[in-house]
Amino acid sequence: MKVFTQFTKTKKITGFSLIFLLITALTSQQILPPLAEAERLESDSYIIQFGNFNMGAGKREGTSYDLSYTLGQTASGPYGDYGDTGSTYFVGSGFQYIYQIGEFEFSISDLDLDFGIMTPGVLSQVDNTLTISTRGAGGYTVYGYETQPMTHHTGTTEIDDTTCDAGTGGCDETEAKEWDDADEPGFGFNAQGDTVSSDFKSTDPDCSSDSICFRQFADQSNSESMQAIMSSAYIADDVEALITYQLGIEGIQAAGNYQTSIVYIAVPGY
Amino acid sequence: MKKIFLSILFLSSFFYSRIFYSKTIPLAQAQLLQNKPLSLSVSPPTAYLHLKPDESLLHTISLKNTGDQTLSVTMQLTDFKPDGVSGKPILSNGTVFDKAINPNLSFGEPFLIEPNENRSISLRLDTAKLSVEKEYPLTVLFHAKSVSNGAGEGSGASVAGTIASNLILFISPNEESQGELLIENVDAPIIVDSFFPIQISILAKNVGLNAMPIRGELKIKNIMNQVIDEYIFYPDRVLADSTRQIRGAPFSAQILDENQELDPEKVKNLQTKFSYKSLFLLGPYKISINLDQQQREITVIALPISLLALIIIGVLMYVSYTTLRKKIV
Repeated sequence: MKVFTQFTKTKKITGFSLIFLLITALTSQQILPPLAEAERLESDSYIIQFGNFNMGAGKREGTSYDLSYTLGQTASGPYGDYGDTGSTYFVGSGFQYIYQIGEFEFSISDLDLDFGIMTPGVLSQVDNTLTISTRGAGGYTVYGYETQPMTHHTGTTEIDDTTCDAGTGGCDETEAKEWDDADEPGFGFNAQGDTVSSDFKSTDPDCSSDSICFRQFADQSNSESMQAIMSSAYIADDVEALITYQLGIEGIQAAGNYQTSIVYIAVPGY
Repeated sequence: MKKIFLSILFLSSFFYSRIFYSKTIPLAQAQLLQNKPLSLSVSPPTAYLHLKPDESLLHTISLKNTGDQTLSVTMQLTDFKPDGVSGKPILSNGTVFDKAINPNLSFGEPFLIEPNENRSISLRLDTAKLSVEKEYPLTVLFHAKSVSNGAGEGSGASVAGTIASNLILFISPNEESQGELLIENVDAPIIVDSFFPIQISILAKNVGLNAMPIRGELKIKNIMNQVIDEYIFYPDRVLADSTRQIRGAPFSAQILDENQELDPEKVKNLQTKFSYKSLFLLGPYKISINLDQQQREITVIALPISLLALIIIGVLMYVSYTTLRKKIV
């Protein structure tokens, strides 16, 4: 019985010792980082508000996470490039409170859209692909516009933006409609993909088939506002949209080349 | 176009590093580089900065050419308005920073960025001329076009791309967060059919001065006051003086990060409609919403409406049938 009591005592002491060691270990910075510091950093010259640096945009990665924050120094220049090999932090002056972690990437597969020699009564098509990636759960929006309508190289005449097929009620820069009548000249585009604007997926008119419904580009020279082409409020990993451009000319169109510029703007959600 | 009397000096020096890969590019990587004449990545996508009046701040954006062609890049700064629903910036037309108002403003000449080159672009924010204490949602735009664009032989179009980095600047002498979230609207039915789900959507409004993250949860309780379903809100930020629809996911320890908040990479689908469905709902259900410091509770009553309608229709048909039969007999 005495032996058993001693054994129990020893067991209790060992238990207490283990708990003590565990608490000591947990409170050391090796195991439990100083969360209080991460919650709120401030000095006379800077403050990081809201505490949670990486909230909403993923988490820190490894030893060189893409968190940029300041340490209150007075120098005015940056001391490194985040994302650069061998660089741990980017350090700037001033203060800031939240940076979204991760990158926002936007790609376009073809920058020279060549319709070739146009023939009246024939609709010509070319296409390219827009690709977007974002780790931020705020998502993204891709807008598009043209700097001007398709304009003759002499600047004298234009090919109007499409108004789509007769009987559809007409399309504009905000709404896509069916356009497959080769006798309807103009310039427009179709978008296909999971996150393209809803008018390109409409069932009335039936835009569910590929490259059936077209829209005008917003015309910057006519002060039209650029329009969203693809948009999502979620994380994106190489999300694509296939853009098909369609051009048709009428029989009395002045001979020569017609050119314009298309601009896409990818904006991350906040 | 909103005019903001804020001076921004674009530091003429670009601190950049050229990170060229070795000459032997792995096949997989080479395939990735194909068909990317214009490809840019920017970091951070969004920055929230707090600045005291009369202070200056250096904000740095990392821009990388991830494509396979040299690009010519120019910068522009514009303001945006929240869309009030999803956190989508609505860019304003034109630039905010009018040179006539800010004669010292200079964004420099277009610069070239080679494939795989990484540049850090530093903006010095100086609020000396800005006295209004408020939040300024801005977007830095990087307009890029290929330097090797060649006109085709026929009609066509050249394509350019722009990538943006949001900058939400809060000017205030106060070092404390001054955001305040309220439940602006709860869209939920008063009565629901027993065979249909209860669906709730919530709009949050920030009546404070700076952006605030959404924090809270929604619980659905049955008549016994037992929690039968629970959602945790995703910490989207609501900008000052704007609204945003709350998103969330069914509560589970597996989707939380180390801060006990939703980890977006662990959640496949964030929902804007919180729903509860059972085989047969009956009686009152309490919807308890906890947002920041605010709580609201609403009651939804589930009734077998469709079943009752079927019974009433059945009875009416039977009565009509028997009456008609009696008349015929």
